[in-house]
Amino acid sequence: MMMTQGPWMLALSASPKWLESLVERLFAYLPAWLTSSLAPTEVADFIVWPLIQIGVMLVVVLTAVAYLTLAERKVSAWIQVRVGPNRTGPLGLLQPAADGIKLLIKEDVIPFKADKTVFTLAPIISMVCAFIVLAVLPYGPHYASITNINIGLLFILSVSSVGVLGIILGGWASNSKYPLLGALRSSAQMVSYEAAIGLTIVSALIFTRTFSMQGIVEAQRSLGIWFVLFLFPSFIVFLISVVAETNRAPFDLAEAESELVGGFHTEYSGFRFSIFFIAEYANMVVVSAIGATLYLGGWYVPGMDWVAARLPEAYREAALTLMGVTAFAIKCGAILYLFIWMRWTFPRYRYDQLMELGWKWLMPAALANIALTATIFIVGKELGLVRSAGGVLQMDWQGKLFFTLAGLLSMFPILALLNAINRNSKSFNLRAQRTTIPVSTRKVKLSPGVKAA
Amino acid sequence: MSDETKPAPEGQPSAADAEREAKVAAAKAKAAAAKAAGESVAAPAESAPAQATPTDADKEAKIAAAKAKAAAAKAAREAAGDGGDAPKPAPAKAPAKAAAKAPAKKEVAPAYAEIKDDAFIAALRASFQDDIKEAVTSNGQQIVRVVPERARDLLWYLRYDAAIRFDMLTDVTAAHYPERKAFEVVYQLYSIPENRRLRVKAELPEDQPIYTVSDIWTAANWLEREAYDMFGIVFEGHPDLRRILLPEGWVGFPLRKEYPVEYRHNEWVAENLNILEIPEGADLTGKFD
Amino acid sequence: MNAIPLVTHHTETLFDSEQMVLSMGPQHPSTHGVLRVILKLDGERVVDLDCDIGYLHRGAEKIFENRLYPMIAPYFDRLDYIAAVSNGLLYVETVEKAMGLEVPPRAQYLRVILTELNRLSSHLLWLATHALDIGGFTVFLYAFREREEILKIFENFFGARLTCHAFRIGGMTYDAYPEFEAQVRAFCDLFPKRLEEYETLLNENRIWLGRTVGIGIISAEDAISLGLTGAPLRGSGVDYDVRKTDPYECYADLEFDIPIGENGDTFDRYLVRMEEMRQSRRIIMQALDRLPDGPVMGKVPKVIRVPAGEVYHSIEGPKGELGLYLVSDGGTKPYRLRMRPASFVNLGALRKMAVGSLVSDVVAVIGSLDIVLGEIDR
Repeated sequence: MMMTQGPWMLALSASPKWLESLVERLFAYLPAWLTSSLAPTEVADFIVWPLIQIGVMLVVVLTAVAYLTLAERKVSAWIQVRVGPNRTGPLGLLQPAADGIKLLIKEDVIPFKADKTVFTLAPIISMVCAFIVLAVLPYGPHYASITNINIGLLFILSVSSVGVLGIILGGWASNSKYPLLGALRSSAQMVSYEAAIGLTIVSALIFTRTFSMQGIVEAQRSLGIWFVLFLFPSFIVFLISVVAETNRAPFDLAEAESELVGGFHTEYSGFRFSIFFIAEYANMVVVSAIGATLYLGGWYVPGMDWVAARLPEAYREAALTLMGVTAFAIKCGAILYLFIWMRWTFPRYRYDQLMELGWKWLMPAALANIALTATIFIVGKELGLVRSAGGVLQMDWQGKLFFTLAGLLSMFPILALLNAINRNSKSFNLRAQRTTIPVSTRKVKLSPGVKAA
Repeated sequence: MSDETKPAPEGQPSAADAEREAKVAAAKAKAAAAKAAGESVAAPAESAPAQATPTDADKEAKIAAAKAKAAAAKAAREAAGDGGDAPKPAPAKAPAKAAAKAPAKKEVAPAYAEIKDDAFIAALRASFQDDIKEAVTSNGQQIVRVVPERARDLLWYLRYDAAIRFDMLTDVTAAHYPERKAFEVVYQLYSIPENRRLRVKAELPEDQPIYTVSDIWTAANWLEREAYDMFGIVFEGHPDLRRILLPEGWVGFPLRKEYPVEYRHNEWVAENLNILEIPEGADLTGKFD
Repeated sequence: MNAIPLVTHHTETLFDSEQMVLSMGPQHPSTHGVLRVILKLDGERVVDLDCDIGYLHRGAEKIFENRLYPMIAPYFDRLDYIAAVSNGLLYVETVEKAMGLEVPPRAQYLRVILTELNRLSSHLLWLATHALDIGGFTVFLYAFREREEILKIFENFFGARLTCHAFRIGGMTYDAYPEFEAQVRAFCDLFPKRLEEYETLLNENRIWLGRTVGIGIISAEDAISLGLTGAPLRGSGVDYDVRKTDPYECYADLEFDIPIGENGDTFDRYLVRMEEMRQSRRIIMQALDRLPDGPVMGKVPKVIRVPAGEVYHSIEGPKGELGLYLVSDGGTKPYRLRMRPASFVNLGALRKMAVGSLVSDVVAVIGSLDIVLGEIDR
């Protein structure tokens, strides 16, 4: 346990003196079953301190989610040459609060023939699953993250799969046709894309050598490089899959408003709807955090250790944490911006095209990438470019260069494979499309018209 | 079936006759409109001349008399013509029709002129003999009148076998002539290769069905449904003859002349829209002043 | 063509049957108004569909029969409310044709400019909503930006943005306002760049191609048999445009081309309309160059009386061939005034185009037909 000196840094350290004294004072009032096997220090470490962290995290993330909705509206406004919300508070900064209040005081309608229990339960499942995952995300070094479980990545994948249940149940319980169709679409979609995500993460695990989220960041920190360089194809597959996983345009088939009115949440209104809404944005935050952690080094930026080493020892830990949290936020923000950008640029896929993309493009790409990455890794190991010491990889600049180049070059065999698979696919082969249709408007025949009678 | 005009109603009533008749008809129409709409379908026979609303004819006559620079005699003739003939497209006699023309127009062309020198129409006449009642032009547009029983045959011929193939059916509609107790079913044809239009009309007695052409041109499917919806013309052999614009269960056919302009089917509205009934005695005859 | 019954309350349980009946509309984001499409679905595949229209039926044709000729014109603005100018033009031209009235050349050119501007605004709205249906939200707002410019010109000219109404029987009510020409020119200069912007977003976008290429295919024969007109017909490769085949106003003097598609799918209809916008701009520029001076109102009798007889007149509306069939008994009111709505006939093709495709394609096809319910239901 790292002990710290600066008084303002106490909050960053576990079991600070004031916390321990507080716990000691509380000790007498805590239930006996809680205190019977625990020392005051342990209570502070495992109960009180995490509770404080969770509280802070929830407030921060909920605020972030709220402002993400504002950001979405602002960014879309810029993209569309509009102004966006600017009436509520300066620059529209109070808009999320206004939205929240509006949704809270709206009438909460439960359809007459809906299954009331399930109808009520569905948004809760969605939101709980989205928020549980926040516990294992590595927001920064050390105590900036709530917990560091050694199967963090698996935990995230499994919990977020349960989140689909909320959408399916919500669609089914509404007892209405559009939600039902939306739920069916979204269940099929999420199951397919989860497979792609799971597989593409496997290739990342070859380099991370751990499921622990902090471990993944540490692996990149010890190498001093981001895995996106080694795993570029995997990163692309991941980015596409998670957009589909979070039901965002161009994959927002579950709630395609021009087809299914509102999709699974057609019958939801007021706060129940807003819970679905929050869950969607929380999911976005979660997947962007996974992406940032796996591929963009999480809270790690090259050089941060160098900067920290230049600082007085007392501030070193705090500076690292601060830089880490900021870097993590920026990386998540970049991925989130990409999501928003995609949403307001592309039209929507059709259901069968979505499935085709999932199973005939992303899945083979992910599988091929596993094989290629493993091969590259073994080759690198045989060449002596990478060593494994105590579960952590070590490599020199030659090794980094080799893996970066190999990672980038592995794009080509993957693309060749995808081309081979999809060559005969009618709807999704750009080449086939180009030969059969005029791509440019200028290709429309221009006729002088029939002579007037 | 005269040479250049539409079929005339029986006799040529005098202005006085027409006025009296129209007043009676208006009274009848009021009574009919107040009744349930179920009866309004059966009403055509009794309220057929209701359209010859005396106010209309009078007013038109007055305007014409006051403003037209033409002689007073001309105005009187015009009034007579309007009073008697308002509901039908053209008066029976040529002089009366000429008088009804806008006074501003100096050169008075007949409304319908016989087509004389057109090889295609001649060939058509040769093929269909007496089934083509007449072939006329109005405003330079060709019209072929055919007996309703042979309308489908003629249209089939025009689509597939004729020298000029009319491959597009632009419109199917109808017009109601209550005094003749008949509809005129109108087919607007167009030939894309020849860039030529032709109008085929079939005068169809009320309550008599006509054969569908929806298998010749798919476009006729909806257009015939609309004609059925608005006029109650039954197209025999139509695959799906339902109301199209009006809701199922609507009573009456709005574009028939006896159907009032301002009218609410109280029962239907109360049942389907939950709106209160219009009070008794409200004026629903749809007169326009 | 077997009729499917109009199912309003289906009683089967959802999971016992293999097919599900889905009522799409009349309140649905992408049925462009109050169209109701009843879909019979097998999974997501459309087994059969039926359109339920008439929610906006106002009995326009019945009203026409009871109004004096000058009083009818405003009703036309409310039919196809997206293309009010075209509708108004159709009506005044029909009456002028029946009465044999001459329209002064300046009025003719102004009418053409305004009608083509209206075609642009209608096509822009189509592009916006079509893209929105397929999920391209940004194109929607881009297209509305340009449409706004046109509506500003309309507002200056007509005093209204939507129900524009300045055409009178025999000419125009009033002449162009002083800055009209400059404003239209400014818009025309800007427009091609903006069109390219949309095309950058859509033309080579794989998702857009995937959603439109090969969707809702209709062959030229079927298109003709179905009576399709406008872009749906031209998208199938049939060269038919009323502005060329039967030129009205001053179209015969103006140079423009008719874009023709090849495959008759949603993408070709998209391409055709995009090119039509370019051609419309070309027409506007030419008409502006040649805009003559002079009066805008011809000689019209005080009381408008259409001589007995009948006339069918059609113009090329933004949605297709708009026809008007006028039967006159020589009075001051039409005996029968029948509008041939382009959207109505075009929508009749939906079943042919969409059966066998997926729910998402139905939405795309409805978008590519470019319907307006005000015109369909009348």
